[in-house]
Amino acid sequence: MRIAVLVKVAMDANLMKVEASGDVSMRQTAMAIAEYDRNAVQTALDLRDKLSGQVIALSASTWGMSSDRKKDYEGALREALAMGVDEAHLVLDDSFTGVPLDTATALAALSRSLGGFDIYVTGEGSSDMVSGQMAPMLATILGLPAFTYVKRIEMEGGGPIRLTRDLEDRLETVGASPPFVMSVTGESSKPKLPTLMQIRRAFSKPLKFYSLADIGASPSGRARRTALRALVQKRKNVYIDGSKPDEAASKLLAALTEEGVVRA
Amino acid sequence: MTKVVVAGRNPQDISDAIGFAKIVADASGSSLIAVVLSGGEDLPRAAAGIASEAYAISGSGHAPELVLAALERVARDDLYAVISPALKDLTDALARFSARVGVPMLTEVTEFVPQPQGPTLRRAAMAGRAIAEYSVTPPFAATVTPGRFPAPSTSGSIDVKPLDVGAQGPQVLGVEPKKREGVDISSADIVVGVGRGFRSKDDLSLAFRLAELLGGAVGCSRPIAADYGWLPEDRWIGISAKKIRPKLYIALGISGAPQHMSGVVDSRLIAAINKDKNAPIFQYADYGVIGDLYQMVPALVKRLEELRR
Repeated sequence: MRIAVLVKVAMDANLMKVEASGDVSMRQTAMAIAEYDRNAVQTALDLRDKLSGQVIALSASTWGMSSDRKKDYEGALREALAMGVDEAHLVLDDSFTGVPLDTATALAALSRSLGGFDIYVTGEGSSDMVSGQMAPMLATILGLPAFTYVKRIEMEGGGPIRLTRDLEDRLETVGASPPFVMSVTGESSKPKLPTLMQIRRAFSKPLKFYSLADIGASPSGRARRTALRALVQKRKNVYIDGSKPDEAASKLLAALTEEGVVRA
Repeated sequence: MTKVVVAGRNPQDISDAIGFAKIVADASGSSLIAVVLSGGEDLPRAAAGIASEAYAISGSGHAPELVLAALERVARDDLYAVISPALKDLTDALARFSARVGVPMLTEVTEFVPQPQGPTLRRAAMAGRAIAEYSVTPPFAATVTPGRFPAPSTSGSIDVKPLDVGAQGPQVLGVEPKKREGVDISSADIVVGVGRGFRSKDDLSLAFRLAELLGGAVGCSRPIAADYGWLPEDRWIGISAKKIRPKLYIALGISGAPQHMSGVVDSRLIAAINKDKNAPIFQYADYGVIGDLYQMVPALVKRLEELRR
């Protein structure tokens, strides 16, 4: 079984850096594998344990900065390799528009150039943009079924894999037979931290880079991200020392009353 | 004339997105078409006087594929935009449609600004700490947070036509409705959020007592609902759950993971109690108490009880 896991190298919102212009600094903000994509990696590894085969990570430099941040993209993918992924392939190109359809088109081209896969797994959404479009878009472009927001994966004998989708009002179970694409939720697996040995071994695993031209893809030109502006810090950030709870409680309630949100 | 299509699982979904659809239709001089998967008989209550055409999908199978098939029928030609509320099956359906016809899609759009060379769309990014701006050449697909754009009032009537799309998608093997308490934390003025700082389910009574004294509701972060199951999912706040915008959000023992914060950043005021002074929650807080919630919450309860006496 050939299993692809789509991994986004996302910017960490809690470590967001801002340029003097007020734009989010794509040069300096720390990047790592998007949280739910860690679940996708773990799910892919768990599937490999049961079905045998290979897990291949696919990624794209959606935040651009391909020369400045090549090391960071690579570092995030090395982490996926350390978790147990067999090889990683990254489209490193500054022509990405930040529009999910262009990313999906590129990842579809990359997976075709690698001969296609039986199962594609990705996170339900990335922690920095939360667009939630990658699995259904990739599936549609590749002409495969898509199963989104999968929380539970069950296999019995040789029948279809039972996937339980976690929706707002219900859990819904469907049967899936490869090839298919799925997105998984944060509850779908418990990502395991790599051991030191695994981290060392990751450096000898294949990690390949491509440009959009290499895989024959290009942005549609129908949309592009034109700005990513940091919101002006509008929070007051008033700290209250809680070591004397009664005093701190009075202070907090006085402040909230003054703000008019709590009545005295 | 171009078209703006608003698609939903039911008439409520149409009400939740038609406000935005109308803005886009008016700005582009498009006609407005409403499509629902079920409850077509009630569609006039959401669309009459606003939309010029209304369709009720008939067919069997799986929601995202059924909506996709319907969109391919009504939204293929002269399209300006397809719009839905940001709900999972609809985000899924619109993403498939976008890829099928090659139009860009943006989720949870907060602003549409008409421009001569094509509209600018904006949406939140980085857990609500940034705004992303896009320049788009129509047609496009977009989702909006339910209720973010108020629905215009309806008038008169509209003829709802059937739209048969046959069997679509995989067979559904089983459906298990989620346990609900029926609380709507998104309408509360004050929400007390509980997180992993609580050591047991029983201890949550502290938060409920505080919420009761403040006239608020209790919400929670992911671990409390999804991992421990201490509270039902209708109290879960975050990117894959509810988004709230109360007057006051009080975070108790919540570290401030982006996934949670993106559900609360629109709160007018945020207060936080956490014993870890380095917890990211303090970056987002107007008032941050560095202290143990097990001491602070009883102290707040005691003080409020004195004040309320």
